[in-house]
Amino acid sequence: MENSNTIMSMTEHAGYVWPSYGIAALVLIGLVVLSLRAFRKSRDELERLEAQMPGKSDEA
Amino acid sequence: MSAFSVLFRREMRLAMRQSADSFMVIGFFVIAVVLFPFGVGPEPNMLARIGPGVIWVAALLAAMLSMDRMFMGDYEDGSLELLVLSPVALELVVCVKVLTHWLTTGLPLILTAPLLFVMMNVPGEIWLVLLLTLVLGTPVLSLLGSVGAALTLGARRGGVLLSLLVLPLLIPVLIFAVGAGDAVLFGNGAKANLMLLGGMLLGALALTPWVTAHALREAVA
Amino acid sequence: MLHYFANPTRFQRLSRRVEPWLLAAMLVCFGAGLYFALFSSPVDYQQGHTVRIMYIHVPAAWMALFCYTAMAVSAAVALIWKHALADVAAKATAPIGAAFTFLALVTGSLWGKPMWGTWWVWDARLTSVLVLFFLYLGYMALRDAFDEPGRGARASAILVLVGFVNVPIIKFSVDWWNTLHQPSSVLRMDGPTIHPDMLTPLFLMAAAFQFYYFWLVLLRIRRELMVNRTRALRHRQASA
Repeated sequence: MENSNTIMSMTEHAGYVWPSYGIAALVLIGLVVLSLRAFRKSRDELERLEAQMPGKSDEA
Repeated sequence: MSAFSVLFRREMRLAMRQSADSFMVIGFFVIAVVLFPFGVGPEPNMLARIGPGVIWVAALLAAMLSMDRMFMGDYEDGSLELLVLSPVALELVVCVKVLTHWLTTGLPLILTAPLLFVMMNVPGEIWLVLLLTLVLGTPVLSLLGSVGAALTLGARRGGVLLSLLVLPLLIPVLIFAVGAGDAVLFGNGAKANLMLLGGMLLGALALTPWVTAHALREAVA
Repeated sequence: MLHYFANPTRFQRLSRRVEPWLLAAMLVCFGAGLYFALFSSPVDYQQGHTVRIMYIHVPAAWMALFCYTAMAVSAAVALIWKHALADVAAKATAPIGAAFTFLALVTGSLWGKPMWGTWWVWDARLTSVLVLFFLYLGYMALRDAFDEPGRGARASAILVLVGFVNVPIIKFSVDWWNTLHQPSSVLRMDGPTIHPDMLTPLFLMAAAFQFYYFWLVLLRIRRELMVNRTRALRHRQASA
């Protein structure tokens, strides 16, 4: 009886529950990866630019 | 002569010069509806069932055709800047533009609709209700469309973008307009649907000229 | 208060300090939430194991509305007080909100198939959430459609505020119209009507999504600020 409460015992609706969690993981992790990649690219670009313009970098 | 009538005469003169636009809208409306019997088959009961919805969707799409030109001409030749700077309230200018758009798009659509009711075999007892929904609904299209037209001024691919922005917001109008016809057929009476459409029209009339005017100021700023 | 955070340097410093905590809180909530959701929560007597989809679906739907509300508030602040950071916050929120809306729609569909026997029904709630998804996409498209970024920012801010009428419609659609979608069972006046053992994973997952949003939005805001600064430096370089 205890056992039937965990997802490992799931049989009939496995085809709906697992894809839900899979798609959620895919979308949420994918968005983080894209955001981080864009973040790094912009940071590198800004640092390169600031290195070219010494003395002006502390202005906001 | 009041500012309203001066503006209105100017808009109507401009619209008359572009009267081909109105015929294009009607042409699109008729052809879009006529395609359906070819697509789904000519079975009269089915056409009667889908007729009101098809006619309303075609009217929505047809109204979109001329939407992006509502402010485009004035924006491109610079007269929009003069209108923004003029002492006349910009909201009034917007109202005149919307009225002209309705007279050159919404009204021709309403006048053409009975022809399409016949062709789509729409039951006679809901003709009047459907025409009423068009009378209440098409001004909402012009009003909400004016917001989209002002927001997309100067945008890349503005015409397509305008449809993508405005059509989702018009879904409630479509639902309650087509629902009015069904309500009559089911014997419930269309009063609730017509009241809701009227409420949407009043709400849009109160808010959209103000929003559009704001968007226009941003566009020329 | 509003202007205190308008300074990008101060914001960068503050958000760099907060981000690790948000990340840690998110991971803890996801860990605990997933454990309860998948292993230690009861099976619904009617819905069987499909009830586990709820722990993704319901928080995602909450976040879809939350993100849109956050965007509308940011857009209003940006329009009224010309607050640059609020505008950037609205821009950074849009893709996250669109992702949550997409998840709510897809998981709802995966839940609907075994329960209602169909992937999709045209009821009021599903339709209005679909419109919400289109509003997110329209916002991003309009924002990108102009050569001058300021114009895109202001036009799209107005669009967000116009589209806000949809939010109360979504929230109350299941109460106003009698449709296939079940009425709200958690956020209601007379207390939740679902089993307490199901509330634990539900709230843990909701908290995890919430921390996810705040962590990611801070990161995306910092990125936008760097892009703005790069543009300003380029401009100065070109005019010097």
